[in-house]
Amino acid sequence: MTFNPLNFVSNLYYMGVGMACILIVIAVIIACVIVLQKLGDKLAEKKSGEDAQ
Amino acid sequence: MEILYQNFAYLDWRYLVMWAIGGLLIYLAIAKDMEPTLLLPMGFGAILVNLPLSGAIGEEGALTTLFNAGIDNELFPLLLFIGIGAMIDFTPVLTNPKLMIFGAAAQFGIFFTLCLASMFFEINDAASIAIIGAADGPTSIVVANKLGSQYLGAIMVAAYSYMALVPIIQPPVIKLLTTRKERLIRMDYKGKPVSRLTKILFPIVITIITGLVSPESVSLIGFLMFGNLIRECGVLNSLSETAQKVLANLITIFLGITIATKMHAETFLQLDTLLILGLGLVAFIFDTAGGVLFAKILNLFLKEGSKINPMIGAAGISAFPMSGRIVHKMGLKEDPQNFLLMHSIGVNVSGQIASVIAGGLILQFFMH
Repeated sequence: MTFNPLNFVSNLYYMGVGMACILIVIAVIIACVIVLQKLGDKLAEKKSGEDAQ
Repeated sequence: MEILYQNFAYLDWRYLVMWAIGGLLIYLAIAKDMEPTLLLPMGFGAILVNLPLSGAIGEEGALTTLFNAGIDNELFPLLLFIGIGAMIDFTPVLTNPKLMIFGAAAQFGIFFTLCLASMFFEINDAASIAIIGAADGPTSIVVANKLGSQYLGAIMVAAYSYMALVPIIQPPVIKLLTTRKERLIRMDYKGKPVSRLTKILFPIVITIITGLVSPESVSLIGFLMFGNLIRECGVLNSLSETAQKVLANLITIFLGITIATKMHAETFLQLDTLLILGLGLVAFIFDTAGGVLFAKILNLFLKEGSKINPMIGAAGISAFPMSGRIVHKMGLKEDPQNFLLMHSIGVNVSGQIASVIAGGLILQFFMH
């Protein structure tokens, strides 16, 4: 084990890229879930419309 | 008669220390109910591997065989993920998907600890130590194994111990970073019904998106979501029940006792182990801080009446469901009419997904 404080600074790149990637992926997943919900709601409405007829 | 005491000559003070550590893990599991499903097997396994000339390890030892069969190839943690996926109900997060952003923010501790640990360790070991902040046993095992870390034993002890200590670690950090006024913020919960189609497509969509971004995480996210799909499809109830109970319990038994193979005195009793335990705590603290501070930053842009209680950011740590319940209890303590449970559980569940993505990214950065 060696102590090299400069490594903290040089690895900040991974912190920046890593957090950015996670936030972007989660944002994409959120968008997909919203689309899935709307799709699910539309199909449910369509089905209840058909059942009512 | 010599055969009775000849092995005593091989007893070393370090074995006695490891027996004490094993005993401590067993005590914490039984008397304090701290993650007993894993701490007890790990504690007992630590005693098994630290008996002189133990037949449980070595080339033909049972624990070594189990390790090669299930941990060296990451099979046990992945099978456990099927069980975990089958246990998780994603409805709270599907009702309000925007909460998932806090699950992402609460992975900050992983990357902060990566930078900190890299000051003391080689980058692969630093990354393996940082993944303790994922607060997720299978992810920690898979990442540490794939990166070839020599500190798997210490990492597992740290990961599971701190997961059990979340009720002690999180509240002081949350109180330090929030004001009473912020902790009193109420959040309405509108329980919209989630269609069966959404619940079925969710695990498939998550797997595809995450797998495209981070191919190294396909096994992790895939097995987790496969378990969830078995649960939500509605036509595999017996498999879902088996995954949640029998499979999860069986793998947990093997996993706990086999991880102890890496708790041999020679490798475990080093200054590095203490440092790893310290860095693991830092990871959990900064995970909590990341989630809370992200919520506070978002509040700067939100109108009165639609502000977020920043405590729910802390629930983004993947220690499910403990972290969600802690935030809810803290909310009730400040205001007995403030029910944050559905929000905090939603964030907590999304933390599970975010932690797997973080694990995949860590592998993507450092595996080649």
